[in-house]
Amino acid sequence: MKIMPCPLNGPRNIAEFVCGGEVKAMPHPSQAGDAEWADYLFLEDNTLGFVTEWWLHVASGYWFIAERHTASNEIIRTYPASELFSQRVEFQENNE
Amino acid sequence: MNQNTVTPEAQPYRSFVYRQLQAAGAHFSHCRQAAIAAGYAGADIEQARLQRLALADLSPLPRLGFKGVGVPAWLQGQGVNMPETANTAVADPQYGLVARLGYNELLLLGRDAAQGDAQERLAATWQAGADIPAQGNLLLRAHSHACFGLYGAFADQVLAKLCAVDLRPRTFAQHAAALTSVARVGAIIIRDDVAGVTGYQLLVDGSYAVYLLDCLSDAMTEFDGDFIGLDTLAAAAG
Repeated sequence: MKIMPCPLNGPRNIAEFVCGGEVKAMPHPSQAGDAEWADYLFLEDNTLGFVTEWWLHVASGYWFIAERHTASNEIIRTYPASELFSQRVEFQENNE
Repeated sequence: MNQNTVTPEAQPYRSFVYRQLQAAGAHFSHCRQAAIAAGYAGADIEQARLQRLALADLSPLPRLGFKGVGVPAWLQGQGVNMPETANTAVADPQYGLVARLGYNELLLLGRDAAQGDAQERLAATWQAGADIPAQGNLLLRAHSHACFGLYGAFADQVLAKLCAVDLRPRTFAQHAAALTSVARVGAIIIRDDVAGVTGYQLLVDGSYAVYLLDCLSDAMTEFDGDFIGLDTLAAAAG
């Protein structure tokens, strides 16, 4: 059984988790073009090596960040999203 | 308690699994507007089951949830006992067991009608909207979840068959909480001993109630576990 160390719930069976894709900077919602926004939403770098990813502990609905090697699947570190994101993102209404 | 006079079908609320409990010989009583299984066999028999291995359906008991940044401080302001760390619980004489699931999610598990009334007043205070946290939400949990109590010397061995988390009493302390999967279903498990007997409360989405009851009953068979009613739990808790 593969074990993922959840920052909130401790070590758990990997079956309790879902990967949410790479952590990447969000382009400005109203200034980014369609291509840039589609890239942000759907395209991944698919790096061979260590990557920083969003993961969800499904049972508690808790999103966090994990650093993982995409070939060996070794998990180096997991930590709360608050280490990278300190502020809530406020979206402005699009009046186009 | 109005033994043998309460029929679940005649009550506004009843457990997701009341038919299975009826088949097991349950008689029912009221808890507020809900029918709850009060007992199955004699008090002495159920006390013996409690010591060895017993399952109680706690689904009809009152529950209330809150979630969001600022919720713990608001609840403390209302006089609710607050667990200091995530994934733990504390007993509150007014509202029942207060479980902290994550940093900003709280679940109040009432044991009787009086605690249900107190929870209803707390919900009404929230809904009146004075000084509530901007990002907070009230979660009406009474009818969303099934809740089972598993008690006795073999309770941890039953759970070991269904759950990968180490729930043995020496590692999973009294009032510890875990959000994990039990029999492949997302579940909340809270250690909640009764009168020195190891106990756990298991909460799952109500739509899984019949399935989980079936899984628990099957896992209990090898240890000769059986049902107990709320009267036995109340008598043991004093």
